[in-house]
Amino acid sequence: MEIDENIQIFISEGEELLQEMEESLLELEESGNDDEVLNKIFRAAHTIKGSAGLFGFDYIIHFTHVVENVLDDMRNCLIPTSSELITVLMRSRDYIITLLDGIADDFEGDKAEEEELINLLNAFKSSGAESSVCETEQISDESTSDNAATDKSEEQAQTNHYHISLRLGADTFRMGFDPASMFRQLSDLGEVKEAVFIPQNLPSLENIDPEGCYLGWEIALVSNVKKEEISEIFQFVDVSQLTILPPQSHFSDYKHLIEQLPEEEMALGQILIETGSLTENELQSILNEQKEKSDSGESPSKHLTGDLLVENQMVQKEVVEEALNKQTKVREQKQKALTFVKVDSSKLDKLINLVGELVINGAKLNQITEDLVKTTANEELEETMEGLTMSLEELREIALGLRMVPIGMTFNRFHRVVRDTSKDLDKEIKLEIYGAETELDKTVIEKIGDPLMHLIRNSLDHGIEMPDVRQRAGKPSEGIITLKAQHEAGYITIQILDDGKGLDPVALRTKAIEKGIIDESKKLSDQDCYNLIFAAGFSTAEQVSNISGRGVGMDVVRRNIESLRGSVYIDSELGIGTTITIQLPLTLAIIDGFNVSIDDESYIFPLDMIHECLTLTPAQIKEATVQNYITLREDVLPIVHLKEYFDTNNENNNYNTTYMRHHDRERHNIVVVEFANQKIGLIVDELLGEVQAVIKPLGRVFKGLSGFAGFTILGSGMVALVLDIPSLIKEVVGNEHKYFDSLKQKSISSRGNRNLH
Amino acid sequence: MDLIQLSGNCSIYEITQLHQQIHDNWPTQTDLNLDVSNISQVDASFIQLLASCKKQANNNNHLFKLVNPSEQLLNKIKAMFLNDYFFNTESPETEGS
Repeated sequence: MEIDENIQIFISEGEELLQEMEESLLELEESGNDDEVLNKIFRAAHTIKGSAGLFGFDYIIHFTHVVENVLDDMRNCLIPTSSELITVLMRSRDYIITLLDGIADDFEGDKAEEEELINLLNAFKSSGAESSVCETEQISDESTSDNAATDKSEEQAQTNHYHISLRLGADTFRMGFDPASMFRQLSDLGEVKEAVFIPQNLPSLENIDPEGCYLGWEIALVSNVKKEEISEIFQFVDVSQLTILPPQSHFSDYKHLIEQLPEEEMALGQILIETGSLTENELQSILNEQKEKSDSGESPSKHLTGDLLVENQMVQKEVVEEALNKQTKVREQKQKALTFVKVDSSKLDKLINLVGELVINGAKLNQITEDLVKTTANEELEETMEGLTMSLEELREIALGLRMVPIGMTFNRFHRVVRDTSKDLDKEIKLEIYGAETELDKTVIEKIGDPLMHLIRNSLDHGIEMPDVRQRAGKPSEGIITLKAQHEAGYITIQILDDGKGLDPVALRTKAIEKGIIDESKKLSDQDCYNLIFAAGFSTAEQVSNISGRGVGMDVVRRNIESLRGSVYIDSELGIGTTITIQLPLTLAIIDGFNVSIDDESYIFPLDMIHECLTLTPAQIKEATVQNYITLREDVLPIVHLKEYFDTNNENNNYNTTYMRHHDRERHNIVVVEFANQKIGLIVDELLGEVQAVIKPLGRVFKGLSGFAGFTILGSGMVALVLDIPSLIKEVVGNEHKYFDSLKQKSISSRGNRNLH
Repeated sequence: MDLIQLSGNCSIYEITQLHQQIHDNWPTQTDLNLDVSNISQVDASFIQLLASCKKQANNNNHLFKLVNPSEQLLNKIKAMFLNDYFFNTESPETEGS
């Protein structure tokens, strides 16, 4: 079914709200009854229900209404927050997602599931309806501490009434107003608990104008009516001063009312009037006061409405603060709405493809221009081309930036996974997230979700031990899984760390031999043993669970990561925990590259990964010829002759021989690349300079060919292969133990033990 | 005891006259005793005048007394929540009520 654009927006916004709802539910489970969090959850349900009404999705309204009712009861302290309730609300939230997803297919949800959920929700509602959670808490507070009870009752006594401060105007009597009738009217609205006469303004007999009025009272009125109703009594009275201060106990009511106001931009006074904490007359008097002060030359910033309202005791400070918070929140949301434009991601993809084509054609044009300038010396053409190239570079940066999104959106989803799975496994596990703001290309983020899910579920299932086991091992019963993300030279590094039992390299090796994955005679380092986890059909779980343990995941995980031009490493320490490190390119589309040639063929290095470019000195040439490494600033730098490597990429390759065949060149350029703290020098023929490379995937024919991330088309129209440095380093290290022993030693030593098994 | 006798209606219409009467008949340096037994209609302006008298008496450390206040007067004072001011302060100033 073709979905209307507005409905599409409703679905997309609904999904965002439900994502927030999930996060807030998890937060609520941690914090207990947190008003702010509860309101956030309620607002999400309320907004979805309201928006569904706009499009006539009655079935969504019907279900969301039930959820909303339960949330409202939670807000009103009629239902306590419990893990069971959170679980039902989570399931309800999932069900609403199903309803939203079903719109496109006219699917109105699984009615059996809906009925079950409604029954569960209603069961919470009826069980909690008879008693107030808040009251219970209050009684409990009072019973546990006499002092607390006294304080509480004093607070109630002090605040459970309106405070009216009244000074009648001089013409009150002349206007025929009788203050006694005012007290009668107040008594009709509630109980005048106390009225203290204020004689300060009353002149002595000698000085009094007997027809003038000087009366004033401080009145305590216990009443449930709105402030506006009280204010109406004084509507036609000549008052010189009137302050109606609502009861302190109404503060939470006002707060609630303020929160309930529509998300529209309103002036502070308007918010307070709408919620009944300020009357129009009061506001007018404050505005008049403000104007007078402004007219007399005082700075308006010194007489803000909120400050004057509090100074004049018209509204409590807390209520003003709440209203200001609301105002700020609405403004921020408006600002956000104004700042952000939602765009269909496929449009962005098209834009980036188009920019890619522009970059390719720009490079071609640049080449043609260079040739023309050589013969015609046309400076104007040259300058125009330079300007165009710069604009293209900027356009590329901006276009790619549009698709960058924070990885936190993906990370946050795992809170729920950790919560639900740890409950299923009877484990206590907490998820900690760092670097959620780290940005990554949306296409990469979309593809990394599943591999991350697999890895986290593995850590939950196999990594973190049962609470009693942990305690016996001297660890806290609660295990921690940490998700970290950070940028690193054109790549993003994502780590999944757990403080579980760690990997046992000997057990892994034994298992691999049993499963026929490796031969018994094969010697493996700890690192090699850890990597066995990624072998197809490998599983160490004693019992296959529904969480993981079928061994059909980790190999797929690695393949998926590698298909993103990424790589995955494992580090572990028995009894301490395991760290899985994933490295991914920031973008899959266009990169800044460095063009080199080897035997007249062009190759592109990702510029971010180039540490430096060197020309070998005669001494270094000699050293490299004999040892296949050079000493660079007192460090050993392994050297690879790329031409030979690509030409003869097999186990029988002898680097020394092949290198010597080519060392007779007078000049050797070395591109030193770095990835994951490993540096190697790659020998190339010529350094041709920087290019913008639009990475195109290699066709199926090249499937399985490692060392290349794709290809690009150069300005000359030639095709250049883009080097995949991480896999190249890994490949070289993996295949040539002897030759790269020093490199490997460095790689392994950073992960600790390098025993061979 | 000097006694100032007030009678008849005691409302905004008579208030200036009443004010003058009290002012003229209250000798300085004496307590104020107002005989209010014969007053009929009272309003808030009269109660305010009494309050003013009491304030001046208090300021001068004299006593202020309402002699034989009618129920109507007392009710009016009560309705204006001035009981405490007139009767529960330093000196209970009614007599004969």
